[in-house]
Amino acid sequence: MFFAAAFEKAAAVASLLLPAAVAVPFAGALLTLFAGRYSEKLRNFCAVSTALLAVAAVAAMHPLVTSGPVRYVLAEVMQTGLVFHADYFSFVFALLMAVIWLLATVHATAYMAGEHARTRFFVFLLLSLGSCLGVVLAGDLISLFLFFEMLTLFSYVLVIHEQTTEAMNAGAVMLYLSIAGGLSMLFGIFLLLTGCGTVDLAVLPGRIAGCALNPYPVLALLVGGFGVKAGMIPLHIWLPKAHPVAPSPASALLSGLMIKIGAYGIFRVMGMLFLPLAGPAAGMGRIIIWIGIVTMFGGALMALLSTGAKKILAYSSVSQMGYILMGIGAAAYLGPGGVMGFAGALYHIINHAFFKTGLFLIVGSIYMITRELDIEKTGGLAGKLPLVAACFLIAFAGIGGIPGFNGYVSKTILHHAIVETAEHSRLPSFVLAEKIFVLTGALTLCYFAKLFSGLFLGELPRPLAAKNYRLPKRVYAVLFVFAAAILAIGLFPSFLLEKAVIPGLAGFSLDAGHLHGLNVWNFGDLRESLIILSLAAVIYPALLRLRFFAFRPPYRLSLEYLLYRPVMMLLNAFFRFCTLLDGLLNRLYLQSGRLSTAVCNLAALFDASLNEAYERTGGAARKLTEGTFYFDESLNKASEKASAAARDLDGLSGDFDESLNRVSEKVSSTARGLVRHLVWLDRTIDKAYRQSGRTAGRVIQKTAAFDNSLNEVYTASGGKSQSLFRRFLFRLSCENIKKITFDAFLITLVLVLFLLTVIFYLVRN
Amino acid sequence: MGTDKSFLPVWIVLFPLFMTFAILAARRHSEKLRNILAVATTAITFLSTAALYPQIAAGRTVSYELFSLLPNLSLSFRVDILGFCLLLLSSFVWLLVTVYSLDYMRGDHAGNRYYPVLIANLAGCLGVFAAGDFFTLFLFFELMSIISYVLVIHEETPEALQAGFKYLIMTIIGGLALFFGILITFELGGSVNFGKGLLITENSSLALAAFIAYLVGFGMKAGMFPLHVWLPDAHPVAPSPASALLSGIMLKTGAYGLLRVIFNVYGIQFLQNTGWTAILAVLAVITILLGSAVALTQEDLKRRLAYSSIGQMGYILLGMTIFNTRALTGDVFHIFSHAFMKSTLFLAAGAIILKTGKRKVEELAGIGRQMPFTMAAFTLAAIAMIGIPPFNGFLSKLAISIGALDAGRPYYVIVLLLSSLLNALYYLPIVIAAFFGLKEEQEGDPAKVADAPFKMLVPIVFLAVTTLVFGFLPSNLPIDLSRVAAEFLLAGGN
Repeated sequence: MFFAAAFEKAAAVASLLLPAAVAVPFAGALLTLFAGRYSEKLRNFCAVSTALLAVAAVAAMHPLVTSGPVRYVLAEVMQTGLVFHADYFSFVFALLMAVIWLLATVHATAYMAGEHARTRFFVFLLLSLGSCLGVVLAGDLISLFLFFEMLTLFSYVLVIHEQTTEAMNAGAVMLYLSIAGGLSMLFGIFLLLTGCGTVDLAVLPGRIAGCALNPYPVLALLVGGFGVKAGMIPLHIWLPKAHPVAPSPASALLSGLMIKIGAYGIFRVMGMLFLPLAGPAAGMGRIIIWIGIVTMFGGALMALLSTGAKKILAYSSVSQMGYILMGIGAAAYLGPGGVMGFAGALYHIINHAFFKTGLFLIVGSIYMITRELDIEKTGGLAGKLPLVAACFLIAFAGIGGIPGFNGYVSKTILHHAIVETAEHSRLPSFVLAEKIFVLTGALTLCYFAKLFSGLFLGELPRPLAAKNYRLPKRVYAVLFVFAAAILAIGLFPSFLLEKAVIPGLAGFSLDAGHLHGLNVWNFGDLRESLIILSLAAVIYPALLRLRFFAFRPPYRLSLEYLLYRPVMMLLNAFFRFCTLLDGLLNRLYLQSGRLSTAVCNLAALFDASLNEAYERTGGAARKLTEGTFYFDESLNKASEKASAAARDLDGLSGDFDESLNRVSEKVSSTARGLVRHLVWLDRTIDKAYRQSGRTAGRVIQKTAAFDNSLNEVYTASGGKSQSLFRRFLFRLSCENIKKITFDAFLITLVLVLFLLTVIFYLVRN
Repeated sequence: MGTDKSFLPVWIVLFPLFMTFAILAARRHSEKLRNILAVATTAITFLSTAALYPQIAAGRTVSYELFSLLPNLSLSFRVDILGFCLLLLSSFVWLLVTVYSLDYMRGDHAGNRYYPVLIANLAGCLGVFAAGDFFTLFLFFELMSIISYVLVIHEETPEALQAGFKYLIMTIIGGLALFFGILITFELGGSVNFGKGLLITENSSLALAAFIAYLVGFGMKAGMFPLHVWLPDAHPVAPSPASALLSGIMLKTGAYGLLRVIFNVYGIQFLQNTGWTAILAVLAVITILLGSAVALTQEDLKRRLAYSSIGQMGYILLGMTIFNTRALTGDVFHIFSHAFMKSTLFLAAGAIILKTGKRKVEELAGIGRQMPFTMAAFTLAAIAMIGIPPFNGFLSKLAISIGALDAGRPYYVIVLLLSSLLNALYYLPIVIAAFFGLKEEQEGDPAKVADAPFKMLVPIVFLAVTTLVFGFLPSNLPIDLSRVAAEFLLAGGN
């Protein structure tokens, strides 16, 4: 549907066995969940028989895959199709997982008896098995990604099983780092999908050379994504946290198998998808060789410095994954001639699955009795648990690469690979890499010697003396199977080589010719092993003498502090910045609301002062009119008086002289009065002018005050925004709208309308 | 592509509108009648919408002109494939939410106000999706926006009133901007009808002003940065079923409007020439990152969900700026996906609040054992939200990402993946705390808190299962509809 090209017919036999093998654990998990409600026994039976059925389903594929790849497509499920595809390489992984899962599940039925939430554990154990089988049997990268993510989520529940703070923290680191890795992988898948039009594992290798694609980012993204699962330095930090806190059978599977999912992915990507591109494959191979070297050495060093038995084993897993990565890197670097690297890596994957799972189960068996695994608080268990100690020694010899045990074979092949790389490239740095490889082998022996002596040798501590040292028979049975497998592979190395490794590599475009009949029992290889042993024999006492094992590196030197803390700080800064931005935006909106309220207030003030000015002018005019009216009246009165005087003149003609005198007196007094009136008028007009002048003055003052208040408002709002800004710098919290009234709302509306109209006209013209 | 004349689109919109009054009248008689009427209304509306399917599936559009106001301006309805997608989705989710409300709102202080408003809101929402022209769309858009204010302030607490006020102001400003845009479109194009070719064909500053006005108007509703500030206040304070609808459906009206603007008003060619979609794309990227990052810092569960909605709407806004079938299929499909996922999450959060009164993320430790079905549904939806296969969220992310890469924009993919990681960082702690936060022995009497009542559980679980089913099933309705809708839009949207 999205990608029609993804469904090209790959030449393969269709078989329902593939989805069935994946579905069995999922169905079994459901059954186990219901069985868990009724009885413990039924539930354990369900879990074990599901694992057994999964082994059977995978084993049944054997005749099919020996004759060629098998495929089953659930077309268009999830729109991209769920593609299952198994070649012999997938089959080897699937069988290894199913078998070891079965053994661990049997062990878990005994181990979990003393734990809480048992049903949940078994359900998620089976779900994880289903996801692991899904990953290795997936036929395209999107199906693979589906199961990869499921594995992350399901195995998370196993890691945090104890639900202590430590477990929860470890789980969180694992979960988020894995999800980040998954997303990086997804990006790579997207790029491949758009570049090549398909992500089908069977189709891609033939197609990759013709793709419009920059291979480097794709390789980096895919390897980075799988590298998180594989515990590749510097993406390993979740591993030594998560593996020790899980219940031992889960740790065994996490360390023995689930990290191999990462190796499987890198194998597929480097060895199959990108091998036809010689340049990028070699370039990436060189990087992976060095990542592998650093991982193996760093892991071994950290194992030397740890005291928790499971922590040592976890770091040891990191270290051993370094071997595997180095092998893959060497093979990719050498191209088609790098068969030694691939063979060694694949062989080591199988071997590591046996001895590391075995070791975790051994340690878990001890924990069932002692409830204590710190090697500074244990010791002397060899006397109480001799068979367990013997199994441990066998696994120890296996992981240490002692001839006759399985680790010797794969490490020898890997050693051939790195030597070939050094010879082929003629780079002195690879000679150094070979030396580090040998040194790491010696260190491996040292930290296991430390672990062995811490657990089994010396005095039995007093708190442990009173325990009941009896283990269920099935625990011993499981441990013996692992010990036997380690011995058998070590003694008959060519069986696995011919039956698993060489056919497993058949799907890769490699020249497997000189792998046939490879003999590891020759003088050169035995001498290497002897060198490692003697090196260890020198280093171990020296380290003991130097009290190196008691050295605790400061936190400030850890990768977490140096690399992850800055990243976390950056991320945190980003979150804080975003929150700040959001708060700022909120305030901006609030502020704009306040600003429009302030503008409206100003307008109201202006309006009021205008009103006042009009009122005052009116008052002055009224006073002026009053003054004029008075003047008119007094004129009137004067004329009236004059007429009265004339009348008097008429009536009193006899007494003219006197009256003349009086008249003249009267006239003069009237004239005086007139003059007085005129003077008054003059004064009134004067006063009126002065009054209006004062009014004008007051208007001016008002305007000035208005101006000031405008000024003040501006300064205030400036100060407010300043202080607001200062507050943003220190503290972030969302403030809700306060003090916005309905008036402000209306005014905002009016303003917006106004603004829109203005924009309309501006833009239109 | 023919057009059928049918009254059905009008009926779909007007039926709930009339039923609002019936429910208003029914509340005087009995609560039971009121509730039955509400559920029956949503159910009948959903069935009526589904009845459009044969015509739509045959590639036809259904239209009806109610009456004409001015020349070229009428009240008309028209349902094409895109509108049908959203009509079906809205009426379906509305039905489930109404069923959920029966128990959630039992004994609530203002149930008599709640149900009529809920149904009137449905009418408004469906009116937006069934509108045949921008004028009708605007009418119903405003109706929906203003009525949903009543849902936001339902609790009548001071916070609710404040949030509601903020919502109201911003919504009205958005509405004005939208009106402005429609006005210009009418002036430039002479018509605002859908399905009659592109409305604006010449580049002018007025055309740009209209584009920005549409961005403001619809972007406001869609929670686009920087106009999203109302959303994280308004969504959490509403009652949970209303939050589910606000976040799940009503945000989509904004996205729907923008799709119409891009494909019916301007057209791909025009926008590619002018490059205006870059504005939307940049804002969408900021919206995604900001929403996801801020969600991480929220303590309140519903507030976290609200910010998550902002981030997810960013996906949809981003998707519509990439003009190819894959991205647009993913875009329309994400409208479906997000509606299902976010409704589940809000309804589950509502069940938790109703049963325990816990609103803070940190208080949720051990809740998974007390309310297993609710939290299982929450978990499914949360994982779908992160975009982990085989859930529907993964599919939409996949399709949008592939589309972005096809269009040569790998940085969009980085943004989407980064946002996925952030989603994981803020959703998974809730799930983890709920299921693994406490050991069994630390828990109190498990009988104290029972899981949500049946009528609430059914919608929650049903919606949660859809997130899985619609991601996993090879051929399902949402993905098929999305694909047809994407092709329809790319072909010109007529």
